[in-house]
Amino acid sequence: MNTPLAVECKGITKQYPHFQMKIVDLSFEQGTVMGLVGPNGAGKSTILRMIVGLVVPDSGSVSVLGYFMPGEQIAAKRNIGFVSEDMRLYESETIAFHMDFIKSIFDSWDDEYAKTLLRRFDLTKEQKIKGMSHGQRVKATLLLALARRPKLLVFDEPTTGLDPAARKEVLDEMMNAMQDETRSILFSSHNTLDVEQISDYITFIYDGQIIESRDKEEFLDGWRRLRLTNMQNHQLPDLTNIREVQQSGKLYSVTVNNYNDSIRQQFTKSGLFVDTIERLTLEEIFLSNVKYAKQETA
Amino acid sequence: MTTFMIYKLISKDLKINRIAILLWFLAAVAGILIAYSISGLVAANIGFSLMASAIIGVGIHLIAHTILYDNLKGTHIFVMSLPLNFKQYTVAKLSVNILVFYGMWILLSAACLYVTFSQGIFPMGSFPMMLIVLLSILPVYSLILSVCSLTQSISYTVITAVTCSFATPAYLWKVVYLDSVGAFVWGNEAVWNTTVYSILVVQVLIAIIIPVITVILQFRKKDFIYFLIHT
Repeated sequence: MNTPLAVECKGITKQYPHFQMKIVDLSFEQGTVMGLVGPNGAGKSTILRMIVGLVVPDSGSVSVLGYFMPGEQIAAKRNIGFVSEDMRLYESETIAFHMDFIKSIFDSWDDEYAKTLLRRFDLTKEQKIKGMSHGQRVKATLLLALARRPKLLVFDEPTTGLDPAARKEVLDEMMNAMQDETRSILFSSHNTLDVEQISDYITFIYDGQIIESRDKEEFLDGWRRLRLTNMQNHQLPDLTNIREVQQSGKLYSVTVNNYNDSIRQQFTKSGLFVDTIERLTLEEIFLSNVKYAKQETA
Repeated sequence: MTTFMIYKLISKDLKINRIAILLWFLAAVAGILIAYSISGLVAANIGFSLMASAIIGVGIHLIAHTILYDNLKGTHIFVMSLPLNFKQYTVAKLSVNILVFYGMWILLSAACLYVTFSQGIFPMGSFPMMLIVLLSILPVYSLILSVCSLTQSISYTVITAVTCSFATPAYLWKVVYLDSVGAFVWGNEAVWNTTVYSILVVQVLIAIIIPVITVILQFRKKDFIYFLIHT
């Protein structure tokens, strides 16, 4: 039996005066974590805002937990917890004020969990938002989203601007939230370490379009860097998998996508000696992807 | 469900702004007390000016804090993450502003009229003109609220408020110099003629039509967030 989808975006586009979201297809199953990675201005926030109904796509459709957005956003948002970097709480009020406000709206509000989160995040209910650090504000916003126990959590750059300790606390709590196997998380970041740490699926976005979207393990397994020695100045094989080539004298460093053993054999057949084959980190994969996308665009 | 979230947003905004509303109300009451307890035209002018300033003050304060700051500081994204749509958000914001402003306007206008005519500060003949003055606040308020809601821009809101602050006295001067209005102001009896009724009805209609047009225009907007900080 197929697992129901948490989010399904089909052919969504959006045109702004200085930015164009090209055709985007994105989906992931309930109970999984999807990480959106992309440089600033790539279109991550626009996608997330379409998913939570704040922005309407010019074309295409967005379905969240089976509800079509933005038409069915009222029902959908009962099950969505959204936290974004530019979201702010009321400065003149306390955390308790916000907790009471959210509690009065959501029957699913979990008082015990809220208290636990207060302790874990080292926050007190009586604290006014005005006197809080950026990290404390993010944690307070996260608390308000988590304690209502939504089925889908959407985080837009949740760890941006946080110190390492606060970043770890936020990521830990995101992972704790996934102990409920029916819960899903969609989050964006330009920090590949965060994404690598908690995601099941990863999507790379660049210049308003998805350049690659896959299972994390597939991602990490699919990319390799081959260190080659080319003593006789042979031509490199013409492979569509090659994403990046760097040369230093007779030494080559070739980054390939969708790696399999036949690729190594083709280099050998072409007269090159394969010194080493290395796996790439997600950051290296991301940078290589962006560089390739830039070249393709140019 | 529809009214539930609108009610929640209204009560939230009232709670957040309760102290400011109370302070403006107290200032207005102080104005009425001055006009009521100290005899003479000077005290009446001071008292009524204080009262009018308080009504305008509470209106501007709420517009700024419930609409402009919401947008400027990013609290609107927090609110819109809740189970509601843009239409409900718009209705809630307009409602809380209109509710507080009109509540205070009705209460204080009634008090103002009572003090004026029970104390004999002005003759009864000025009653129609006084009502025109009090009602002239409403279309101005509606216009400022409308511009603020539609543009969510401090600049446009300030420009509208400043323009209105010049235009309204000019308009009232024009009205008081109309023979069918001005000729009876210092008389002992209120004269309710067609001109007076027309002016009153037009002012009320404008005050009602502007928010209605605002709602229609807001409902036609596609996106809740217009200006992207991060894409």
